[in-house]
Formats: sequence, C-alpha cells, structure tokens
Amino acid sequence: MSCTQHERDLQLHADGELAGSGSLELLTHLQACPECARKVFAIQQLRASIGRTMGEMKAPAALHASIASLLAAESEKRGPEARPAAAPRVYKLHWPAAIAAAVGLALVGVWQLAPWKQREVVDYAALIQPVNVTDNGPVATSLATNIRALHVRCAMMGPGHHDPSLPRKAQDAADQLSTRLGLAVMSGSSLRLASGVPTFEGANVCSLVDAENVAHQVAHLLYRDASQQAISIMSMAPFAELTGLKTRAYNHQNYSVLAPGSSTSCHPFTIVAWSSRQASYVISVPFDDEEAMQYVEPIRVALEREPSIEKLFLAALQ
Amino acid sequence: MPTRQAGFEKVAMPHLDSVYRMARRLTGNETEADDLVQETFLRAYRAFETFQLRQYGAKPWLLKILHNTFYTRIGRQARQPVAMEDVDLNEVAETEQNITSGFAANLNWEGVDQELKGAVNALAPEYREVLLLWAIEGLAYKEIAEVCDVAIGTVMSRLFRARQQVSEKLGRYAREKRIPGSAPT
Repeated sequence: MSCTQHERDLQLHADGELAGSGSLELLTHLQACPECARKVFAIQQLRASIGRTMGEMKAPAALHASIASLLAAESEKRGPEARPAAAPRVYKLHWPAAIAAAVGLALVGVWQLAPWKQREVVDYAALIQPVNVTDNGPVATSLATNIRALHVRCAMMGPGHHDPSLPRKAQDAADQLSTRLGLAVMSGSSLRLASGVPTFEGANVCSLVDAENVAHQVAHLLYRDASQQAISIMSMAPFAELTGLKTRAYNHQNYSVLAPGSSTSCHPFTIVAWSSRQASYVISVPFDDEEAMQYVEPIRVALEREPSIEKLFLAALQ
Repeated sequence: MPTRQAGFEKVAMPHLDSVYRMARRLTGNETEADDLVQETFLRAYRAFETFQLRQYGAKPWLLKILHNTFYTRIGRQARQPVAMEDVDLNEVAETEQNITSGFAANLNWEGVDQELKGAVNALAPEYREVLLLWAIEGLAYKEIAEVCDVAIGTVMSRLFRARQQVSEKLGRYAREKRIPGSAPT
C-alpha cells in the first residue's frame, strides 16, 4: 500500500484507535517510511504538547466547597433519605487483590520516568518503533487492545474504581505479608531505586473480554505513579488465549510481552503476562518493555514466595 | 452528610479538575467556568440514580453533562456544524500533511507554548472541545462521541480538522519568528 492509502490508518494509529492486522500492516510500513513515521511522531508530539501546556489547570479550592454546599442544599430539598443511597453498581472487592497490591508494589521503587527530550536530529522511524513484544499475532494484539481498554476504563474512574469493603482480618494479613515480601523484594537483584514509588489507588473485580469475546473475571488493582499515570495488576484464572501466547525468558521465567497496536516508543504501553499452575497475572504499564520488566520481576517473585496469595486470588474469583 | 451525597461526591469529585479544565477552555472565562461546573455537578447529582458506573465511566459522564449544559446555555446556534463537517475522512487525512509541512516535527516546542494555547483557544468551540478531550483528558473516539453526542465519524473529522488548524497556525508563527527547524519540508 502507498503512503496515501495509509493516511487514514496513520491518524487512527497515532490516536490509539487502530488494532489488529491493520495496525501490524501500518507498523511495517512505518518502519520503512520515515515520512509517515514523522507524521505519527508529529501528531503524538502535538498531543503531548497540548497536554503539557494546557493540562495543568486545577479547580480552585473554593469551587469544591461551593459544590459541596450546593449538593447539601439539594439533599435538604429532597428531604430525608427513605433508604440507603443507590450507590453505583460496583463489583464486590475480593480482598486478596488488595493484599497483592500491598505485596506487589508497596515496597517496590522501580522505575524512572524518562521525560521526552528534544533532539536536533530526529530518527523518526526509530522513535515510533513498536514495543519489543513476544507475540504480535492477531490474537495477541486483539487481547492486548482489550486489556488496555479495561485498564483505561478503570483508570478513568479514579478512586471510584475501588470497593472499600476490605475486612479487617484481610488488612492484618496484608500488613504481615507486606513485611515479609518487602524483605524479599528489597533483596531481589532486579530491584532498582527510582525517583517515584507508585501508590495504591484501588481494587475491584472487573471483566476482561478476550479475542473471542468471552468474558473473564479479573481481580484488578490500580496504582498511580508520581505523574498520576495508572498501572494495573490483574490476576485471573488461566485461559487458553493467554497461556497460548509466545513467551521469552527473563531471569529464568517465561513471560509474554504484548502491546496494543498503538503502542510505540513515543507512547509506550506494555503488557506483561505470566502464569503459574493455577493463576495468570497481567501487568499493564505506560512504559516500554525494558522498564516494564523492572516492575514485573519483584511482583512475580513476591507472589511465588507466598503461595497463599494465589490461593486467595483463586478463591476470590470463584 | 447524607449517604447519597457522600456516594456521589466519592464518584464525582475526583474528576473535578478535569471538568473544570474543560469548562475553562469552553467558556474562556473563570467566573463562567465556575458557574458552569457548579451547574454540571448539580445536574449530575440529580441524575445520579440513573448512572451506571460500570457501563459508563464517571469522567465521560460528567463531561457529557458539562457539554450539554454549556451548549444549552449558549444556545443551539453554537451546536450547528461548521461547513465541511462531513467531508470524506480520507480527504481530511490527506490534508493532515500540513502537520508536517506547516511546522517540522523537530520544532522547538518550548518556544511556542503560548502560541499553541492561543491557537487552541482560537478554535471553534466544537473543535476545541474534541481536541482537548483527546489531548488532555485522553478520551477515545467513542468516549468523545458520547460526551459530544455526535457520531464517531464526526469526532474524527473534527479532530483531524482541529489538528490541521492548530498546526497551520503554529507553522506560520514559527516561520515568521524564524524558529529553527520550522522551514517547510
């Protein structure tokens, strides 16, 4: 296909809206065509610049108070509540997910965010290289797109994603586990000190749709890094599409590394998956694969050293 | 605090900054934006029982209410599509080459931030809204379509046009100021 024929897909790709075989075809073209690669880079650069220049505005504190007063007045107008408020429907929290959240990342300081840097001579084709994945087949790309969609949808809920009904006993267990795993993580050779440690935002049970449109329940933990980028940890019962993906070895463990079609070195989004005998784990991060593995390794080690967590996950997802 | 209000605030208030940002960009005025945001949250609170969090994230829901409230205030005339709205997307995409011919992709962005703000603020409201929902709030086409109550194709054409207009303005500015790297390629 010529550059003109790729023009529309190029826009969709730059916006993260192109998936499946179209994305693969376009990426192949971009690697061979510096001009098209430069266009993708320009669109992504424009987005980043608008975000940087115009995205910093925060609501004044007084506005928050005004809204609270308005809502209180409205509540009073409506009269006393006859029954408990109809909260939005959320799935019940499976607390093992919260344990794994504390276990996996509470003591991990892992990565450095590399700020975008201006270069005098820009190799555009190199800049928009796809993430170094282990499997870029249509099933893998489709699954990666769905994982990213779930990540984005839940991240957009912010703290509203969280189900706060965490039993006290579970919290005690999480505390003990964190201490034990903290020691394990700190002694791990893959740990790298970084400028920012992500904070736990919330956990819930969500639904992940695979490439065949089959829904799978996942315990979904969300974290935020210092720049408020969302990081996901998902655990689920293994299913064929996920366990059948191609893998590569890292520190004697096999991982599948995926990326949705829109992911490039300019705007990376890496998904790393692995399975034990009884559960599968998926980590989604807005970084490239090298940084993603720095994140993943301590989590996997912690989960491996505490088999009880996996049992809790499985019990929770039944 | 009543349970319903507490539940609503927990879902909605984390998105206050996003709603406020969009309100400021739509109105261009701090006082009007404050007013618009308050009305948005009040309308959202009244409609809270009908909101399904799982089906439709809180942020797009609030932004949709903001959108509807804003355009109700300024009147239906502002919602009419501008000319060339339904242009063939391939045609629009071809003109996107202005993004790279208007200013080279290695332009020094630090020096044109103010100009960028001006270029975005100069867009027609419907183009500005789509561009900001895409660039700042990170919404997908489908979510933007829900917020703005238009078809996905309309989102795409508005977005492509908005980018084109901003890029052209910046390209002209960069060439006028002889900013390094801005010569047409």
